[in-house]
Amino acid sequence: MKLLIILALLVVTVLLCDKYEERLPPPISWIYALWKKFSHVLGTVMSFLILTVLWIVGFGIYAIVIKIITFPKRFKTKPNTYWIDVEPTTVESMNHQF
Amino acid sequence: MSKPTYILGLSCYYHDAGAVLLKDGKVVFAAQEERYTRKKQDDRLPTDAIAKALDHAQITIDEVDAIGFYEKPMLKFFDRILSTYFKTWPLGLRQYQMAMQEWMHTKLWIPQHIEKDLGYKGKVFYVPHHESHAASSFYCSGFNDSAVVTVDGVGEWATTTIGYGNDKALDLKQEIHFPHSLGLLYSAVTYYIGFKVNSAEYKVMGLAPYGEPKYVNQFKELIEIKDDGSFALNMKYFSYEHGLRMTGKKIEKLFGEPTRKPESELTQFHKDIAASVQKVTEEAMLKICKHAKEICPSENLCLAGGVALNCVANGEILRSGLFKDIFIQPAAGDAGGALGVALSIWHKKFGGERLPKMNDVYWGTEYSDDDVETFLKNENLPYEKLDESQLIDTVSSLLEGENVIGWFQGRMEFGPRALGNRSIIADARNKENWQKVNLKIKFRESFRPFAPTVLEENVSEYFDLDRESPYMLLVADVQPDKRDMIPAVTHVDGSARIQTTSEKQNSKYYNLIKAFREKTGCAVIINTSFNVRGEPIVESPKDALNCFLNTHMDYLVMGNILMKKSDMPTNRVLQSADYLDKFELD
Repeated sequence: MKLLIILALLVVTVLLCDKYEERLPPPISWIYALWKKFSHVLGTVMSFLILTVLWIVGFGIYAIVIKIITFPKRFKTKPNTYWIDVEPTTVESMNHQF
Repeated sequence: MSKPTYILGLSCYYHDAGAVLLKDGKVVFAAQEERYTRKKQDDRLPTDAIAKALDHAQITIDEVDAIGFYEKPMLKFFDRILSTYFKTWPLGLRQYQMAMQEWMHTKLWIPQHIEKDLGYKGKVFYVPHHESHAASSFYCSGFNDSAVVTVDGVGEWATTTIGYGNDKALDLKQEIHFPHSLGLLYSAVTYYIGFKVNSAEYKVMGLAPYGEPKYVNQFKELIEIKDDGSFALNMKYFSYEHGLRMTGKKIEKLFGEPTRKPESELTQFHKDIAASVQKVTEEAMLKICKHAKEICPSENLCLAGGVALNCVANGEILRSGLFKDIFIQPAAGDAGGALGVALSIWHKKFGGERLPKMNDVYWGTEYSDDDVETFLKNENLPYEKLDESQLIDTVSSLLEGENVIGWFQGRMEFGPRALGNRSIIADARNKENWQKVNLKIKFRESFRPFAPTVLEENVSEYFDLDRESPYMLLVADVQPDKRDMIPAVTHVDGSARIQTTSEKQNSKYYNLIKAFREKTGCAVIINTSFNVRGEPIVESPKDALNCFLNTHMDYLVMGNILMKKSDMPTNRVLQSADYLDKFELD
């Protein structure tokens, strides 16, 4: 419980510092600047680790399944053409990002 | 009177960001973001260009009826990019690490960024990448019907498309999918011979005439081209699907030479490779256009996409006689996608009327003589103000011989070419000017050719071309009897990348060349973009002055104001090294 309260206070402090960054007096502004640098490094390391785990586990499993399913396609003869017919688009499709 | 319809087209977050503002379907402003941020091919959301566009139209963002984005980001990410990772896994971790962060932070939040950074609350529309390219060409062509071919690196999945336009309708019929891409093949070779990808492909085209296409047979190992123009790359030679490089060891083994290091010596081998890839590109483009004619019978052809900037291939298509008339979108690269999406929305969503063929691309910012004078007074630099006829007379005389002149006029061009409003000009009769402009003004490679501007009525007299080429997108041979007359714009193979100009398109520039013709008998001058290597083309008087002071340019003309280098204070001129350091070499 104590730990949760400390964490909550830390989060609130950081949020307040972020909101009033321009007005922070030294040495709080220095500490906050240091925290931002540290958090940037931490963020880079964390995202690297998370993305790597996702790459190995999430992507890996799916990729292996896809590779097994599509394996017979490797032995297909070359097609007569590489052109692919395009489905006509509708005006409505302009509303979407996909 | 009813309120006009304003549509804002955007392209960004890949390379070459741009913004285009339409008013009732007519372009009122278009510019690339790089011109304002001074970072070549800047890909950020073009907030500066948008601000200038709104300022020009004297409207606020609230008055914009629709914003269009030039591709479909979700389709690109969830379909093509993730599928490619599954396909190439376990290779590709580094590319994935970099790409995922970009996509998660920026590219998947397009409407949110538009709302946050522009304050726009309305609807955002999305048009597929190649449909944007196709629209940018067809709707500007003035053709009632036309076959449309778009070729570039990659959009969502498509890398090459064939479509058909008829009145307001424009539909893509067939396409070739990533990773098989003519644009990426060209970029891979650009990388292999040591130039910057997505930036310096035009150098490969310029280098090609110095070589022989000796490696065409090896290229057949890299790309299979069918008779119908469809093609497939042999992906074992390319690493762009999973790596941070375009090619790897296998291509080095195939050609027997390592990848050239940037800025190292260019050998005959590199020139032969450039000639070979150019020949293969021309073969593929011709076959694609032939197939387009078969499935979309029309006497007209519209071209767009980065590969449509390959003016040597364009010249071949023109001379093939497959089509009676050809229109190539001058902003054929991704910035032009902003134009295409805006035009698509206008014609398809708003049911707007077709407009006549575009007359020019002078759609950017403009500075008056008063603006220039105010700026120069603040800079405390000497200048002379003339009236227009005096200016034309003086500058046409100064052009004779070895003077190199910065020519800054009117509204900035949209697209990659300087077409007489942000240009460096010189006498095409003086061969020394080729080296002078390359080495002392542009600080670029000595092999790079210069384009000529010729009066439209004189084009056939000087070049083997029977039509206008106002956007410098066609290459044709210089007439044999004129090659000695204009050596500075005649490439080693006797060709030239031609820009024609007419009074209707650019009266001041036209009158300058006309006056030069009256004095010298020559209707051709050198025209190259007003910048140094790696620098975006100048946008403002400040940019023009910086470039003028830090290079060996002799005169600068801004509007009707003339500045002479020898009159400039010595402490203000030739700090070239510091100036050049600001720009990343391409």
